[in-house]
Amino acid sequence: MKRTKILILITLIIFIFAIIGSYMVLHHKVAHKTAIITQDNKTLYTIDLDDVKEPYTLKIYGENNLWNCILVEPGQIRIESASCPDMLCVKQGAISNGKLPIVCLPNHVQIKIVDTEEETEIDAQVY
Amino acid sequence: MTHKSIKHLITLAMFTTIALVIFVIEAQIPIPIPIPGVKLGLANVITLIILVKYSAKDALIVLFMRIFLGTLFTGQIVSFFYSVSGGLLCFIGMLLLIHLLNKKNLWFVSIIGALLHNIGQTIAAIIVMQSVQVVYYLPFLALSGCISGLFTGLVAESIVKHEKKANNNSKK
Repeated sequence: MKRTKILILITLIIFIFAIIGSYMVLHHKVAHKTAIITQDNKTLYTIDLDDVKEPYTLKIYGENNLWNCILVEPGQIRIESASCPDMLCVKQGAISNGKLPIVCLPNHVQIKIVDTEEETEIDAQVY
Repeated sequence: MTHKSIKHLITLAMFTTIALVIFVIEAQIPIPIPIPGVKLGLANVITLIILVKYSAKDALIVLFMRIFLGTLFTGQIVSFFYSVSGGLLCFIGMLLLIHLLNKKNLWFVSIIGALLHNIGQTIAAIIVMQSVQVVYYLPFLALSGCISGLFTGLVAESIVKHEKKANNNSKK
């Protein structure tokens, strides 16, 4: 059937684009790492990860007794433990580069790494 | 109430129950990929079946009841927001596609539905988190959406096919 073939083709195209997109997100390199921890659109901490010598932990509390325990290490950052049952933010592991932020949806906490070499906050990006 | 409307009511209630059970069980399945929003989306099978066998209005009612009750059973209020925005976008897309494709090629309808669900969730996440960075999850979500959408679509397709057969057999 002709229509089925076209639909399979569309699916394959979407799939390939998704793979390319994932690859681009994963392999984005950052020169000078600065981690920004935000909650409800408020910046709680700004940490220069290249300056961290000794690992240390931070604890962020939210509404309804939710909390995240964040482990800051030289060059990378991760959520060590959290109050939510699914522990998705913990399973996301450490981030050290790339575009992918660590997100905790229940507690509205987000950790992202920005490149301070580019100095100012990025307004728009074109690939 | 007429005999027919009672039967209709009970059918919809049964479908809601089935969808809810699938939804709750699915929430218990651990997912190895650590990205928020990745799931099987098996409850979408029910939405698809109702869209094909009954009307869009019925499907919408069942979808909303499932999301509402599902949130009560499984999670936080935040997830309700994600489910509604994803579910609604997915529903509109699937409704249009089913009419366009004449109720055939359900697997494709399901894939597009899954992708739209992911897009809706991402939009909700952008609004809740007040951050555009969440968009970078979209390629990963699209990947998982393609795979799980294909799977759920094939399930729905085979159920519709076998239900037709069973109906024909019982009439004989």
